[in-house]
Amino acid sequence: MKILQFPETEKKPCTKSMESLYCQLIDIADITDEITRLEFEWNGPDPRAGQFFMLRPERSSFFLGRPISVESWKSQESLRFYVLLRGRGSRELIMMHPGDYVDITGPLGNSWEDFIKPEFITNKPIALVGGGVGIAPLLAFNAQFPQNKFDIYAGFKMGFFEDEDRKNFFGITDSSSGIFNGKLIVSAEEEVGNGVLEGRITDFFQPEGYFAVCACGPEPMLRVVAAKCKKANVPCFISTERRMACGVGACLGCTIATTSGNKRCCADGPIFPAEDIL
Amino acid sequence: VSKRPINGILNDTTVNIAGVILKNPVIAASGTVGYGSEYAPIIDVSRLGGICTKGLTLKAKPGNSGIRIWETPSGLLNSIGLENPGIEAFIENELPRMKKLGPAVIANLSGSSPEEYAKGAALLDKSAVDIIELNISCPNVKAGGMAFGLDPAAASLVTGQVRRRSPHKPLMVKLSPNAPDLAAVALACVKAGADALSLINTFKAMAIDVKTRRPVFDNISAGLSGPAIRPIALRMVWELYDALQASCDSGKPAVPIIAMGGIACGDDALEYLMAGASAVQVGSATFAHPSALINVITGIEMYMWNHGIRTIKDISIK
Repeated sequence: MKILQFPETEKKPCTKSMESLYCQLIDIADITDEITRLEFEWNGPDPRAGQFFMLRPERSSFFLGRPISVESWKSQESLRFYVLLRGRGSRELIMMHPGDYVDITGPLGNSWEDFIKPEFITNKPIALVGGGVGIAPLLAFNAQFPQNKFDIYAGFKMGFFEDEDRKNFFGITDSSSGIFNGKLIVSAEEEVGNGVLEGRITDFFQPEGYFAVCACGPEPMLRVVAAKCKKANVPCFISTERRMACGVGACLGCTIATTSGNKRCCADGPIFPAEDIL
Repeated sequence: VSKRPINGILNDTTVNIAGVILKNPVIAASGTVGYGSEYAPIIDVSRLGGICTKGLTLKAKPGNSGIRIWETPSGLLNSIGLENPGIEAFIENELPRMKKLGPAVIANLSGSSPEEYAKGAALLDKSAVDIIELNISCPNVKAGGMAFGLDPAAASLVTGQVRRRSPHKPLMVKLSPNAPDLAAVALACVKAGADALSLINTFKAMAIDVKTRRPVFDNISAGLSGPAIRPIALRMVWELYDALQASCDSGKPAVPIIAMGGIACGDDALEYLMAGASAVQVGSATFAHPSALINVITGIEMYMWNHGIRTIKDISIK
């Protein structure tokens, strides 16, 4: 069933807000036991930090795509994602080989920018708190506004295979590019070392002094982060996750109960103010 | 007799459903494209023959709690529970935008009692919707919904009340595959005033999460759709077409069938059109590939062109 168009070879600027394209896998690399990095060609619209795409391998035994947050991109060229091995759907994604095709639909959802306008940020830094692959949409935020001060807190179950992996994972954040001027705190529950602290990331995070906190990760972690922020009276924004079918706000399968009624995780979110949802 | 089209003259893909002309027989199924505009950034929505709204009820409904979507082999289970803003809010906020999209607007009407259905029908009758699709087959609500679609007497009661309160709109009744005797329900609806029949709604089904050792859905059961059910739905359409023909008085044509169930490409739709359907609806496939609806349309057009078929009616092998 080939029902999507192959991307045209000739590049032209994309004027649509979202696109559904058939894209080739360029690069794939295992980062930890659970996390794999995938890079696809993409000449659709540029995403904004915090947005996601629906990904479905061309040769898939599955019916629906999987919603995955974008970690970084090169305009009119490529998209990069981190995928956590969670079930059979994510296994199909991480078992792909360069050259394989994937249906990609997006960019979808809202952005951190919808809540934290870069021009309004004071000289206080912003904390980005990620658990596991939850760090991906936060790294996108950091990379997009390198002039702002971000402190990154990243917690993992397992540390990294190689020091090089850790450096790659955090991209410009960890290089000596001089672009990143914040703190980078990485913790893991196992396989520590290589500059990785032992323990949960919430043990190393305090919201005091931050302009705002952006968080994404497992729900127990988010609850701790949100509670700390509430106590310290620091605004906290959370990127949420739900099972999705359409990804564009049509099926109402990913509804989240908020203080102002039902919202669609895919179209109204995935980012919400913490006090609206927890 | 040769039906090969004359060069330069396009095949006629229009269909007439109870007096409403659709530019082609491909309709977006209820609950799968919202109110149409959700998919407008990705696909050319104006190319569709029609769009069914999300299931509408008299008062707004928040829908079901817990997990609402669960993928299954070649399909999915859903337990949305008719989340919608209510018919008045739909007419005020969504309908004007929907009418501008181009395709025929089909309002999917649901309810928990015959009175509620009738009141909703009265509101829709005064609105700009083109067709009412009476939903007596939603398996995901506790009261009403599918209960009216399982039994011929109950189906007749609701259809009759809605017919009386919406005399100006073509009425299409959406049937449940869970009915013990689908043909009996269908014939009861026709007798009570249905102008068309759409089938099928989802199959009542369930899933258990082996990690949590609990049913996945708060409602226990949910509705199964997608390619997994297509062969069963096709058989139901084939049989119902025959039953409708057999029950028809001589000279009077049977009501049209709008078929659906797992359609993902042109060939899938053609199967239903060959089985006697006048038009088709595409649902779950849109989730997997947003362009599925468009591909179904072009698939039918290509087939007609390649086989020299002039009209949609001529596709039928019945």
